[in-house]
Amino acid sequence: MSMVNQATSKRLLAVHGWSGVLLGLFLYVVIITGTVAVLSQEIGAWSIGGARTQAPFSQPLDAKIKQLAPTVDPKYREDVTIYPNASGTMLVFFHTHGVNAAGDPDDVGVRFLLEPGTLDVVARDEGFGAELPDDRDSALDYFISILHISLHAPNPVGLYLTGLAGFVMLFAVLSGIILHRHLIKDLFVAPRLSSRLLNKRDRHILAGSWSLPFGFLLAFTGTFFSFAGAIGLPIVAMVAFGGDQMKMTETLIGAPEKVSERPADMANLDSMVARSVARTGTQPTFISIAHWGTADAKAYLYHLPTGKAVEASTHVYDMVSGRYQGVKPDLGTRPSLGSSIYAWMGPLHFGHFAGLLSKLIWVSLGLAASYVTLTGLRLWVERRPDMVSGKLLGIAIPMVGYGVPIGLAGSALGFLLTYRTGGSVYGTAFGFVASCAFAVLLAGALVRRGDASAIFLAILGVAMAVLPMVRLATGGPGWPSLIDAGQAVVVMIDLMLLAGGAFALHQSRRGDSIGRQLRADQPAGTTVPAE
Amino acid sequence: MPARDTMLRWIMAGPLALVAAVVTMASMPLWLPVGAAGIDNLIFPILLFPALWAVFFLYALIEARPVRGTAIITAIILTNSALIYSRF
Amino acid sequence: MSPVFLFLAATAASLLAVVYLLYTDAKRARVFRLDRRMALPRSARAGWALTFAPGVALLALGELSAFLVWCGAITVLAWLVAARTPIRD
Repeated sequence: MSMVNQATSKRLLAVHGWSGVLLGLFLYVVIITGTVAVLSQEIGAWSIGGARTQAPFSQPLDAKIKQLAPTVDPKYREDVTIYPNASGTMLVFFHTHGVNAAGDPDDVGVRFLLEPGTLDVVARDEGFGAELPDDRDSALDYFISILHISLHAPNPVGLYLTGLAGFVMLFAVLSGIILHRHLIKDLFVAPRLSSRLLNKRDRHILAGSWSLPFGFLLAFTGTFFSFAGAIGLPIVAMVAFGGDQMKMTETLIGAPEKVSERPADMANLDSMVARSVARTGTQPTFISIAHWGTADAKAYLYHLPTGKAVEASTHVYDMVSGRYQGVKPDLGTRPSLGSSIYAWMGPLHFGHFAGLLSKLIWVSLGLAASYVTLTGLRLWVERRPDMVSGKLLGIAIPMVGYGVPIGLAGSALGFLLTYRTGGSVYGTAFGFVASCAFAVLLAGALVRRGDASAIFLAILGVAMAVLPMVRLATGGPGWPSLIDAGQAVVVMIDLMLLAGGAFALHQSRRGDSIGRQLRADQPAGTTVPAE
Repeated sequence: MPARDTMLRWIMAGPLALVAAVVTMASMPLWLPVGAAGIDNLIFPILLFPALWAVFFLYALIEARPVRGTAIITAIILTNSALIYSRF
Repeated sequence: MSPVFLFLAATAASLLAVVYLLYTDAKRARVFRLDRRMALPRSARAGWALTFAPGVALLALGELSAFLVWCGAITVLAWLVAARTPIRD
């Protein structure tokens, strides 16, 4: 009961295989970094030994911002964004909109960093958003997120690349559905042990079948996020607004056409935050104030989803009267189908809609998708035991498959070792590059060995298990004080690293199940059944 | 002619599918309903772009007759281009 | 009831149904030559209905957030359960 005829099916399988081989390892890099990036906020808190405040927005921000506003150029008061970094340091960015040196639309203004607790100004920087100094506290989580979003390649090339990865995944899922004729029937057939090839095929297909729904969702939403800004927005703006991207963005976000310049006193922001916290039961994650100091000033308080909802919500307050003006749709000025669907894209991709619970499940979905990608590549190699392409890929799979996680562990190590000296932005990047280079050299050294997975796994296991100890050794707080400070999330990441490390070490000793089985009950030379 | 068919299929699945997806996205704001907030015609093309590309790409692989497939995708590209051109 | 509790209950119920489907799956039994003397009554349709029922219930209650985490959790758990190669009995 095939959906397509045999010739088409053969063609689809060929493209499924070739696109996988050419772009599969690249796709894997995007998936595995995305899987880790789901926990970027938690990793940020872990890297600096826990945030120094639990409720950053419940500090007396109002007085501080009213004190800072007159110190900046009036044109920068058009927009104020306020958000905390991993340590709880508040970033307050007074800005307007312009075009930066690279020719891209960008925010330009003055950014203050306010110390958690005292709200003292620890840094004041002026310039375009893209040119402001990187935030040292968030260096690790920022590095991992950008690695997933654009592979640290310049824009828009990086976004094109990750968008392409998303498209390959989308195609792999769709062609997988068409190709696997017995999808439903085989949903409960565990990987068979009768031959290495059949075992690899079963593993790939079983994991792929169960991963289909979320593989599709993650690929679709991911491709959207890559291409929306890099391709979609400029092209649609060209047709609908004669190329004016700024105008299109304003229409999309629903900015008012005309605003009064009449000066006005600003109401108390702290009271708006308190009311918003009471209304939603959560801290805002982001506040934006438009047209500070004028009669049309509004504050937008962004809250992550709570309760039954999946979408985040933006609560609007009038900055002159302080009155609540309701929830603003993500796009446009009134609720619409387009805005509702758009509002689902973020939660579906990031999995942050139900706190840690949904994040951990999204991590497991990401791991499952990584597993599908790697087993698919291994299957391709297994089918070509004597070909150069098969041999090369056989070396590349463990190198990239375990090399990228080793690189991520290296970036964390680099961060921890340089954070106290203030060089964490550089240290994180150096740690990643050095560990990846190490993985490449190791693969070169082990080239004669054939499959070097066990050695790579052992190194990954050690690297993960060592991280919590390095965190302690570099002056990070211990578990009891973290729990006392309400920063159990740091302990959770420690435990995940230890458990992951132990699992990797265990797997590296164990070898793969088919190898064990073959050693146990068959001498040599097993039959390889046809597909 | 298998050689010609293979080449057509490469062209169809590669450049033509991508161009068709981009041009369809570009013309959609002109004919999609604007919706309650006046933004549906702007956001839906951007949302659907990955799906459009995937559909054209899959079609290029599945179509049994590459000549017909190439003609259909080219016609879609031309129709959408004409639509965009007529607005300027 | 909290979304977390609803999620846990729904996932547990669906996972039980998945285990039933796994245990009574004809192809799995044939491939691994599993001899189930005291086999359960076999009905794939009922098994699938039971698997999806908690999800439908969550949707009916408007618990979108719990529904989405249920979807994610059940696909991963079902895969992990199904991927264990059975030992011949």
